[in-house]
Amino acid sequence: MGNQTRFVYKKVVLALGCIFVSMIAAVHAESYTTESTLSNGLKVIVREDHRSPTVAHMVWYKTGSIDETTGTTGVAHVLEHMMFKGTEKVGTGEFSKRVAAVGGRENAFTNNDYTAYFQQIEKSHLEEMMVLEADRMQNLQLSEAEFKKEIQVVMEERRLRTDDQATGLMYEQFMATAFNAAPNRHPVIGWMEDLKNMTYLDAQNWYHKWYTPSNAVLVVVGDVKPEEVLNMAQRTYGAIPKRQIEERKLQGEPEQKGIKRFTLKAPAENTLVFMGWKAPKVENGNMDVIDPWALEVLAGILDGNQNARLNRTLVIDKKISSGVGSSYEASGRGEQLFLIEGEMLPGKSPQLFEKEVKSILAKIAESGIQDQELQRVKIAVTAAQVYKRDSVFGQAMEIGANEMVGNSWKKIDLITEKIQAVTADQVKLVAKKYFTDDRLTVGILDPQPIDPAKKLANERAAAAIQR
Amino acid sequence: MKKTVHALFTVLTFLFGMFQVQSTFAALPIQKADLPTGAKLFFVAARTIPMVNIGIDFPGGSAYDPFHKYGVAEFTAELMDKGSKIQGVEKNEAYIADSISDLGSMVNFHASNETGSVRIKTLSKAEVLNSVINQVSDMLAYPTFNPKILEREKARTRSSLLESKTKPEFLLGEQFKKMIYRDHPLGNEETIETIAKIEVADLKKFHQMYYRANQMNVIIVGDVDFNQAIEIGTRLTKNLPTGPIVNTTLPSLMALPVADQATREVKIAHPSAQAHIQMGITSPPRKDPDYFPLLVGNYILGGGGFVSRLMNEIREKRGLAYSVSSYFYPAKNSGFFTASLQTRKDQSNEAATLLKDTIAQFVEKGPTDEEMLAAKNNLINGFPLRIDSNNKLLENLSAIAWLDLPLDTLDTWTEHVQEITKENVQAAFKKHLLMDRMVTVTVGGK
Repeated sequence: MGNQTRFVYKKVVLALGCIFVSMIAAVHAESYTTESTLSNGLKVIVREDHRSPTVAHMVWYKTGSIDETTGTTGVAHVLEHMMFKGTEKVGTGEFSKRVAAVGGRENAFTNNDYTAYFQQIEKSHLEEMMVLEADRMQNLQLSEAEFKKEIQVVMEERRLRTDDQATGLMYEQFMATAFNAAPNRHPVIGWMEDLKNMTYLDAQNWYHKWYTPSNAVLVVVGDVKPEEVLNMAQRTYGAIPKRQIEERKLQGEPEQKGIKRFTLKAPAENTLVFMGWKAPKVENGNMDVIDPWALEVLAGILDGNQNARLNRTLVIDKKISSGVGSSYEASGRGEQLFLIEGEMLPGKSPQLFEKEVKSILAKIAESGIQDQELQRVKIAVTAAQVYKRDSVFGQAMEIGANEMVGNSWKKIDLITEKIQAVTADQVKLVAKKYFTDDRLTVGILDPQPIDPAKKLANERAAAAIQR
Repeated sequence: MKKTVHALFTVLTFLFGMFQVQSTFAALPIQKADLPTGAKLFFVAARTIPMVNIGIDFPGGSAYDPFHKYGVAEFTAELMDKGSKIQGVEKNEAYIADSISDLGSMVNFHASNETGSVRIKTLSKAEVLNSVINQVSDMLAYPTFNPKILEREKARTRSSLLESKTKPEFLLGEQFKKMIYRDHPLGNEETIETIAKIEVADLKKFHQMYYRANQMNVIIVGDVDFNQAIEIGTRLTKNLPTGPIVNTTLPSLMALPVADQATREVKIAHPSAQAHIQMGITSPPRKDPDYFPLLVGNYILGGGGFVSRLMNEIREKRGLAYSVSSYFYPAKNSGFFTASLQTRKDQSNEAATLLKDTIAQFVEKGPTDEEMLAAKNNLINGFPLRIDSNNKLLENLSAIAWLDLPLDTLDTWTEHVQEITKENVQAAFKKHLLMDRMVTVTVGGK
């Protein structure tokens, strides 16, 4: 690429920057979203999207695996399964049948920070969904017999997602190593031993502790009128009595003092390396901070496209990894990590990967980033603001997830503005400040052959060398 | 320029089910045009969001891989965004990745077993749209196929194939497809041996033979009008290779033969905690008149999420699996039915027997009246959810175009579901789900 081309190219980027900035103003969400709170404390958020006659109806409970304690890990997720097992009025399996009868698609999911339930439906069935969801918000019947079957299903889910998946096991081990005390250290699905020892009473206690309107947010997005939705919510959820939840006990993490390392053996072919640094986050919805937004931009600089620094160096130029990624979330109720992970090509050592990743970060800490790179990340953020409007369900997800971590939906546009305001110097500063060995955990997957004969031969060879 | 415009704004009203719900669906105004380049355009305007989704599909999947060089279609697609001549100047993969990102757009090339595909998502702002279309048009027509990049991508694919070979779900799928497709080209699978033989010349030849405008469907959904869509589709396909017509008709996939149980069952050892079990059989293509009876029946058997028979018998009643389901995959000239689950190793025989018995009983006795009503209610009431985003519309249009279905397919879909009777379902299942031909694969069983 000659100099002249590069110059023209830069001008184009800047010009496009202006187009994007002017677009932000047109996309403000406030104009078509409303928020109210019922007298029992249930927050109701309605966004109008009249493109199709469909609706996403979601109830989010501010309770997840970080609210669990040792011995009953996984109970938030187990309760999520039990929520489909019936109430006095709606028998076992009946909930799903009624949703299916109106053509609905339904499910639920549990995360570190929250548990959410949803139905996607043709708009005329919204109130019926509210009746069902409000009923199980207060009238769940937890039977020991149903629990005993369902806990088996959850154990199968654990085997499928974690025990038989090298990457699943790695992530689980990584969090358990990086954190000593904070509940981020235990897996959302729970340790297998805890699942084996869990009883229906654990699930029941969890339900009584967290499932009440004042700990929930109702999100409705789609072809609806806000006042009609509010009236329906009043008729259904509004009938549930008000109850305060117990005060939450924060379970923090003591400061890490030195690098942590682990090796995990699991059936696989390729070596995996996970690197994670303790990172700051947005606290209590206070957006007037710099570092979390600068770290979000840094994640884009490292991993935003195929030519971003990680892929360019590790996959394209040095051919150490077959794939590499990075992730960081500025918001969350629990602790946050800045993660970089890679799968090694045959013969490439995890030490080499670690050294190269550190050198990529050190280079940013020393020399900073180019304006073009910064602009590129911001363009992607702005374009995503437009693309996300194509999904009714995606919009409901974004609103709910932000509410759960303490960011009001009203601040979603502000987050975009904060990211747009990040400077190259701020990115350089966070690269210097947070990527120290004292904050770092490194995990290595040591792949094991699946053929037992081959495994035995390998072990014998290793033993022979030791002697 | 020939234009065939099908703009239907019919409003259909139905009465159905125990709820006596009145649903109104505005029919989709799909517009179609034969472009001067030979490509076919399918277009739906969606002017609310300033974005455009574009898809291109053509017969250029792995079924067209050269003999024993399986992987050529995939590597061709993979290298389409890793170097090309743009406006007459050779550009590298870094330039391509960054220039697309700098427009806020996304461009993705992909090969399945039937098709080669492109998917573009972009803002509709004129300057942005213009630049993306110009660039993708050149990328489609003038790929570089750099030998060093091919070697790098082969090394990555080799490493990922070796990894896959350790995963029970991969071993299961690989063996199942082998038994369904046998030596039919739709079953072509890249392996470490076949990719080792692939060279740049193979990619160039494949591109020359299959990336042809006259074989392409261009699908556009978004914030442009019909004339703009015609212009975009024409520009995207105007510089593509030409040459003698290539026959892209595939041989038909023979139905599985009757065989004794031992030859129909394959067991693969694996140290996993769970056994992975999959069974299935060849089934009719999408255009077969049994499509709707099989769709409705499968909802009842194993397609209907938490309320299907398989889910009820295996998960709800006995807690044997987290996920169990069945589906039909009706393709252009072939198809298959499959049902699968994963369960703790020591329960694998019990779960496999239940899976088989539940299917066999459904084939033998058919659905109940109550199940038929519930299935139709779900499929008909839930129809709007199939088309409630530009992205979903694009994929529906892509299927209509690829499978050569009538343009009113989405408008008449719920009527077709409504017409299906219990007897239709049972007859179709008895005809196609022949238990003495069905194959089963178990990985990691007891």
